[in-house]
Parts: sequence; C-alpha cells; structure tokens
Amino acid sequence: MSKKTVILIVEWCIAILFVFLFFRGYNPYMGSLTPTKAHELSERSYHYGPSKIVKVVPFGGNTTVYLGVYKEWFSSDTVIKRGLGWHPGGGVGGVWIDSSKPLTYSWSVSERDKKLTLAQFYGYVSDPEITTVVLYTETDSVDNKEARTLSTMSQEINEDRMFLFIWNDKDLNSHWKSIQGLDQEGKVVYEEKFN
Amino acid sequence: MRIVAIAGTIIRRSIIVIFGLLLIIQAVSLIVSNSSDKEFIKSLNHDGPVTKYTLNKKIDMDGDIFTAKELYLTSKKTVLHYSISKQDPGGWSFPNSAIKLINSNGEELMQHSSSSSSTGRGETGFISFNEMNEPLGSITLKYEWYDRQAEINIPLAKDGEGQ
Repeated sequence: MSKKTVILIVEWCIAILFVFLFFRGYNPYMGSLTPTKAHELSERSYHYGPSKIVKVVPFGGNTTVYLGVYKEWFSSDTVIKRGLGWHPGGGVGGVWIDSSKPLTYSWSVSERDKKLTLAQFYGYVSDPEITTVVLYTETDSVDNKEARTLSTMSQEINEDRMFLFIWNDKDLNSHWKSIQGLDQEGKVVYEEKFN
Repeated sequence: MRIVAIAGTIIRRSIIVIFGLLLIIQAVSLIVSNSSDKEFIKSLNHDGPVTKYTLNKKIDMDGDIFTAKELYLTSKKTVLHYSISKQDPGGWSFPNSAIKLINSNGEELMQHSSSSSSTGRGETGFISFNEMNEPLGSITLKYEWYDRQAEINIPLAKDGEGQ
C-alpha cells in the first residue's frame, strides 16, 4: 500500500468519525424528519403521554397540530417546521378535563413571524348533548379601527369529543366574545362569555 | 479517474473542516455551561456559610435518568443541583415544577427559581427552594407530573462546609 492510500484511508476515517461525533451530540439545528416524530419527541421529552391522537390538523405547510387525549387530560401539541426539520412548538402539556363542566377549553396565541400570529382555541366536550361548538370573536375592521366586526367559527363534535379553531390572527386582533355549545336542534345548551 | 479523486479529496477535507469546527463549537458551549455551574455554586457563599450534602439519587423518568446530585443549604435558600440524561437529543427542557422537596417535618419547601443548561444529551441545573429550618435527618424528594410519580427519602449526611 502506498503512503498516499494510507493517508486517504486515515482522512476518510477522521471525516466519518467527525460526522458521527457531531450527530451523537445535541443538535438544535436538525429537528425531526416528520411532524409525527417531532410530536412524539415533544411528548416524550416533556414526560407526558403518549396521548391518543384524535385529530391531526396541518396549518399552512409549516405547522401541524396533534389534538390528543391522555387519561384525564387533553392537549393540542403543535410542531413547527424550521429549515429542514420539524421542532416541538408548544401546547404539549395536557389540560385537565373537568368532567363537571359541559366543556373544558384552552387557548394559545403565538406570534411566529411578521406574517403569522397563530391563534388556537381548543377544548374537550364532556356533555354528550353538545353536538356543535361555536366561537364568537370580534375583529378589528381594516378601515376603521374603532369599529369591530363580529365573526363566528363553528365545528361539529363527534365521538372524539375534541374541537380546535385555528387561524392566523395577524391584522385581525381578535377579541374573544363567547363560546357556545349547541345541541342537535341548534339550541344553546352551554354558553360562556369572556371579558 | 483523476477528477473523481480530486472531488473525493475536496468532499473529504471539507467534511473534516466543517464538522471539526462544529465539534469545537459544541465543545466550547459545554465548557462554558460547566464553568457557569461552578460560578453559581460559588455565588451561594454570598448568603454566608454553605452546607453541602451529596445526594446522588436517581429517578427513572420514562427512560430519562434524573439525578439529584447535591443539596446546598444557606441561611436564605435550599438549592438542588440536578442533572438529567435523555434518551434522545432535542425536545423540551426538564419541567422543574415537577420536583418538590419536603423537609423532615413534612413541610413542603416553596420553589422560587431555577436555571438549567444543556449538556449534550440532557441538561444540568439548579432549583432553588426556601431555606430549611430543620436540616436534620433526611429530606424527601417528590416527583409529581401528570400521572407520573416518584418519591425518595434521602438521609442527609454532611459533606463539609463551604465550597
């Protein structure tokens, strides 16, 4: 074997060793290859779950929300794509389901960048009579800051008992007015007013 | 053949240089966090004499190993030095509020601050609680987090004064 070949082999060994050593250690840059992997990492590293996923809600390509139930808690674990990989992004911790209440809810608003302020309002419906959940919000009008526009979002409730309203709140500055639970006939059986 | 050999050399050497630099950055950040831990322990002296107890008790948290390393007692606070080694890199840092300390009279110490830094696979940190009036006998460390629970009773054997 010539001296050149020996150097070549040694250099390759060093290169492989360096790559191996680097990926062995913690890597904030890489993230997970799939949103599901990031969600699993999120729950595992938080020492919560694994929750039973009832809905997977992708939002705008760079966000995926995992609505899940774990024992007496529900969560809306959100993972975010940054660069090539997916990273845990909040909402991992479970909210205790208060079964004495018709529905238990939680929310989050996070300003992601100049274009996206992600708003989430989610919950778990304990009352079997409630088949639809409606969220009332008021948003700032574009031309007149004083005037507000009322808007509603509604979702049907099925066996998994969970709901999630998710939207980009940038430029809207929503004010949450109330949450209602409607029965099959559309009658309001539960209402909670905010502020 | 010559072009392949040259391309191979370029790839190989760039890997060595790039990953070599990245490894140096990793190593430096580890050294920095290690020395800041030492600084923190030293700074406990500001409240007067410090009593150190070596605990070295482990709790298995879903395969992640939590180690209660030492306990520092000053006239103003009780500080737990812990580390956790994780199965996988990344993810959330350890939720400190899951750790509770109960003194030998059965009173829970109020937790008021914490700090942590990443150490490759895992992290090390300090959780500060109220001062302990009766640092005699033993202390109970409780882990309560959703459905996870663990409790260990640790006899306190004095390790020496100060640091």
